[in-house]
Amino acid sequence: MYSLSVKTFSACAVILCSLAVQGHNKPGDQGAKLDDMIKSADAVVVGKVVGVQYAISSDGQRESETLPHTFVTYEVSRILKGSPQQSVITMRFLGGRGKESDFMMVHNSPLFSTGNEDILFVRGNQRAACPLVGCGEGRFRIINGMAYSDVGQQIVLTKRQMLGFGQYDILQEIMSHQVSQTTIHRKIVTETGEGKPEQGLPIGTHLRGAGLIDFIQQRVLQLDPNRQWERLPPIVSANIQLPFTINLPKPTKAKKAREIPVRKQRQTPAEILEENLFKRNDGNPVIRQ
Amino acid sequence: MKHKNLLKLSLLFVSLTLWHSQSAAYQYWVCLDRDLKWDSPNVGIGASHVSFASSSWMNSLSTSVSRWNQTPSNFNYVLSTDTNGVGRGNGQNEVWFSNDPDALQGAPAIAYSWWQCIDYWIFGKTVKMTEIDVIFDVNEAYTPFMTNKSALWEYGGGSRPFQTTALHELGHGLGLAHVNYNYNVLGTDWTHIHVNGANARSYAGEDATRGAVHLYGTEIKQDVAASQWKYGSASGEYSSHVRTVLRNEAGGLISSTVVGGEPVYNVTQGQRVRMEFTYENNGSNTQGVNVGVFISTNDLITTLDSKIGNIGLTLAPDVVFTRQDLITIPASIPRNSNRWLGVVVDDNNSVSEFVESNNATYVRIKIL
Repeated sequence: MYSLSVKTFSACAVILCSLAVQGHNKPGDQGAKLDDMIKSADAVVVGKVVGVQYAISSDGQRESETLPHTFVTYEVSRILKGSPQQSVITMRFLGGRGKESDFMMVHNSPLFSTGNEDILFVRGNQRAACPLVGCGEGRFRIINGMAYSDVGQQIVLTKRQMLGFGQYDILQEIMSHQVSQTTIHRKIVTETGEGKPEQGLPIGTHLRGAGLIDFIQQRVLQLDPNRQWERLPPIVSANIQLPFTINLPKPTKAKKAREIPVRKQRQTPAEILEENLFKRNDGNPVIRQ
Repeated sequence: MKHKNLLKLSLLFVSLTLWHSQSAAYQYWVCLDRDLKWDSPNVGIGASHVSFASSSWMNSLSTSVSRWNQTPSNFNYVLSTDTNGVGRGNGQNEVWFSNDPDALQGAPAIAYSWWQCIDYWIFGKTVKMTEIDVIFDVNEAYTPFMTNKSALWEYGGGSRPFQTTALHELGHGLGLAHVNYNYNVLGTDWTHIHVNGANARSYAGEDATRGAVHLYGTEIKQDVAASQWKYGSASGEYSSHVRTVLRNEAGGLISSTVVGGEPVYNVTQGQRVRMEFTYENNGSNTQGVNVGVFISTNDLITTLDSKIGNIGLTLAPDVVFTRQDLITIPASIPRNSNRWLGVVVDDNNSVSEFVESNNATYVRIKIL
């Protein structure tokens, strides 16, 4: 077992003709494609993190929770969708540094450090626990001038002029995060395997950050040729000085589950015997005759 | 099922695998150069009595918990019913269903974990997990049942297996992070599944098990397994998994149709094919095992079926091993008939395993 140094490796190269399919959701059901992401965003902005601060929600009501939050302030350099009157935006994310040494991690939420350059699909600031479309899916990183997903996959342009996810790069900027005075980092372990690791083929050209911005801007203009979205109200920034409350996601009863019986095919006597012996053997397929 | 006419055993491969290579494996978080994990490997977790009032859901959650407990790591969840009310950041580990869209943000489930990470320069460092909570979306198409694969996504059904998602989220509770470059339950969960016959089975898998062993130490126990799924690609932060395939001798993909959500490959009598499956060692020690190759008349693969080959494997507990083996489709199988080409790992029961029911799986073929 070895720890992997920060370097590029090509464990995967992937074809995704649409960006940001949320892996934890079934693709096609809730996976947000680029156009869907643009449409559902309150704003699409390009900016640089100039401040990361932490605050705890107030214990305002009986059903509220006191939870750590991270206030991330971006200096906006370009608006791709939304009001052009936005130069600074502060977003509030559930999770982050709490009292003293405590840290709350939300496992699908991005982490931010001062100096990060990002393209953000903002939605539901101050309401949603993670005010980005698809949470981490709604953030693209620009690192050393190149475009990446929130978790370090190259954003590539395919031969068909579609965006896709490419090679996964392990970058310091992706793996390490400054949380208050402490650095946390994700450690990736390598193992000696029996076989050659699965590798995909390169499927396109790794985009520069500027190239991705232009691509998204073009899509926005195609989706909104009359520039109606420029009249959208600016995103209201979260104010860390003001108290805020978060409601407890109340427990609800799981839906009634119906067990669907196996539809029996016509079985031969030998197959019936096999099935019975298999069950009697507690599912062990090694059956002594 | 057994083919009486196929008693001839074609010994195709007895190969000790000599290819060893470096693969990226599990991930976890580190703070102040220490692994972020629990102080004690025994972690209590409460299931909301509101959400898990039904025994079928509670049993399903309990099964997912037991899957982590049965790995060869020393980690152990202690599941109970929580009757005091749940909440995030209350110092208690809890699991519940909710329909709060602002909390779930479109995700089918979210894990929240709390850590302490501080360097008291006089008293030393404190680095540990202190709480884990998991919220499931009550509106997701979960099913607690695994007894009928046809009800599940990827097998022609409309339900997402709750157990695999619970395993994924509870994996965060051990301290494991997402993986998008390997066949791992911390990637896409519902395609990290074992199937033989009508039943499906959730499991932690080799890679995540190694992560658990790294964090909490080893208990000596053994398990080898076969899967019809493999790593496919990265989809954001999660790996997506795809079905293993059947190729012709030259390596080209054999044409197939989809029946009941599953591929059916078109082959001919006597054709040489490259059969692909994923082999896992979910135990603590390296095992030399025989893999029996069988032809069956149904999707249940057992040693009562007709054996057509053997593969010798040495499986170390590291990362999963997806491999192809050349197999000859018996010429005696009638044309226009359906068969299932399957494997049974450790088909002579030489390894005493904590789970014996995950050793066999299949791919469906049609003899043209």
